[in-house]
Amino acid sequence: MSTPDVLIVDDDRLLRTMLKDALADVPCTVREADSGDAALAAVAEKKPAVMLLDLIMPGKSGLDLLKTFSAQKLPMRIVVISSLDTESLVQQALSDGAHGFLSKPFHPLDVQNVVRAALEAAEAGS
Amino acid sequence: MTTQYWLADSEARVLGPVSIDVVRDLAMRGKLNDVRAVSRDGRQFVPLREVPEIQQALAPPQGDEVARAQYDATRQIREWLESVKERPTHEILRVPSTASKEAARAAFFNLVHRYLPSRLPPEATPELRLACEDAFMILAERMVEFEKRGRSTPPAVAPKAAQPLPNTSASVTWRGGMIHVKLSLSRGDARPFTMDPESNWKGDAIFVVSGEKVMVGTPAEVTLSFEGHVTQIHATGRVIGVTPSVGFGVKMLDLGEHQRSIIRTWVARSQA
Repeated sequence: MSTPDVLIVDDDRLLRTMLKDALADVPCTVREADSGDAALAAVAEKKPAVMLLDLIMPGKSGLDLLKTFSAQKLPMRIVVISSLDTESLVQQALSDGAHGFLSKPFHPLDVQNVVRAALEAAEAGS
Repeated sequence: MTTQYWLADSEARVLGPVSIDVVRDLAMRGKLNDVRAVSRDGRQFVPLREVPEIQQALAPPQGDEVARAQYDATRQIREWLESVKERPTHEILRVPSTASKEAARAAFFNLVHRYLPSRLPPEATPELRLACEDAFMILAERMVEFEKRGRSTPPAVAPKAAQPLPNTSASVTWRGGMIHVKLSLSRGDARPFTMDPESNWKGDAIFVVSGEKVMVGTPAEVTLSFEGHVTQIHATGRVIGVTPSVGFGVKMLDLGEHQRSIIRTWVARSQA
C-alpha cells in the first residue's frame, strides 16, 4: 500500500521547510505548493489525503481554494495553518470546508498530531 | 448578501473572501498591517484608499501608540538577549538539560517564530528589526551548537581579540548560457551589497568579485546565504556591469519585500 500524500500549500519557503521537517516522522509523502495556482495543479495531478493550507498567498487565497475544493467535494482533509486566528476567521474557514485550524506559530508536535488525525480520518472516510 | 472583500498586501499576497466584520476583527488584533489593495470580486483590485469602508476598518491605533508598542517590544527583546548571554542552551529553549535533539529542535522552532523578521510589519522600526535579527541569530547559533555537541552547554566566551576580516566566499559557475553565482556571506560582511556605486543593494544588485569573463546582459542565477541564517535568497537576474579583472554586477529581478528586508537588515547590521 502506498503512503498517503500530504500537500503543504504556503508561499513561505521557510514555513514549508518547517512543516516538512515536522512531518519527518509521519508515514506520508510530502509535496509542496507555493501558491494557490500551484496547489490547484498539484491536486489535479494527484489528490492528496491531507492538505495543510495557508490563508494568505499570491493569486488565489487559501479561502478561495477552500471554496473551490469544497464545491468539488474532494475526499481530502484540509487543515488551515495561519497566524490569522481570530474567532471569526476560524469560523469562516471551518464553514468554508476546512477540517481543522492550526495557529502559527505552531509546535512541530501539534503539526504531527493534526496530520496524523487527519490521515486517520481520511483513511476511515475513504 | 454581505459584501465580501479580498485584501492584497505589498507582496500581492491575497486574503479573501472575507466580510468587513472579519476584517475589523483581524485589524483589532493587529493581524492586518500591510493591506495595499482591495477587491470586491477577487479579480479586480483597487488601491485601499478607494475602498473607504475597509480603510476605516483597518484604521490603526494612534501613531504614538504604535511607536510605543514597538519601542517596548524592542526593549523586551534586548533585555531577553542580555539575560540569555550566559545561560546554557537548554535553559534558553526551556527544555531539560537531558532533552533529546528532537525535543530541543521542537522548542527551538517554537521559540524562533517570535523573532522571525518576516513576521514584522513593513513599518517596523529598524531598531525592532535589528533586535529580532539578533534574537533569531543567537537562537540559530545556539541550536547549531546543540546539534553539533548533542547536549546543552554554556556559551563559549568569545575572545576579545581583533576580529578577522570577513571571509565571504563566492563561486561562479556556468550552466548553459547562464552563470550561477553562489555567495556565502560572513557575518558583518555586506561588501557585495555596498562596494560598488552602481551595483548595490539599493538597486536590488550585488557586485561579485571574480575573474570570470562575463558580458553585460548575461542571465544569472544568484544564491545568497548568510552566516547564522537558515534562510537563503534565490534570485534570477542579469549582469548589469563588468569591471575587467575585478568583477561584475548582477541585478536581481525577482526579489520580494521579504528578501529585500533580509538584505536591508544585513547591510544595516554590517554598518552598525
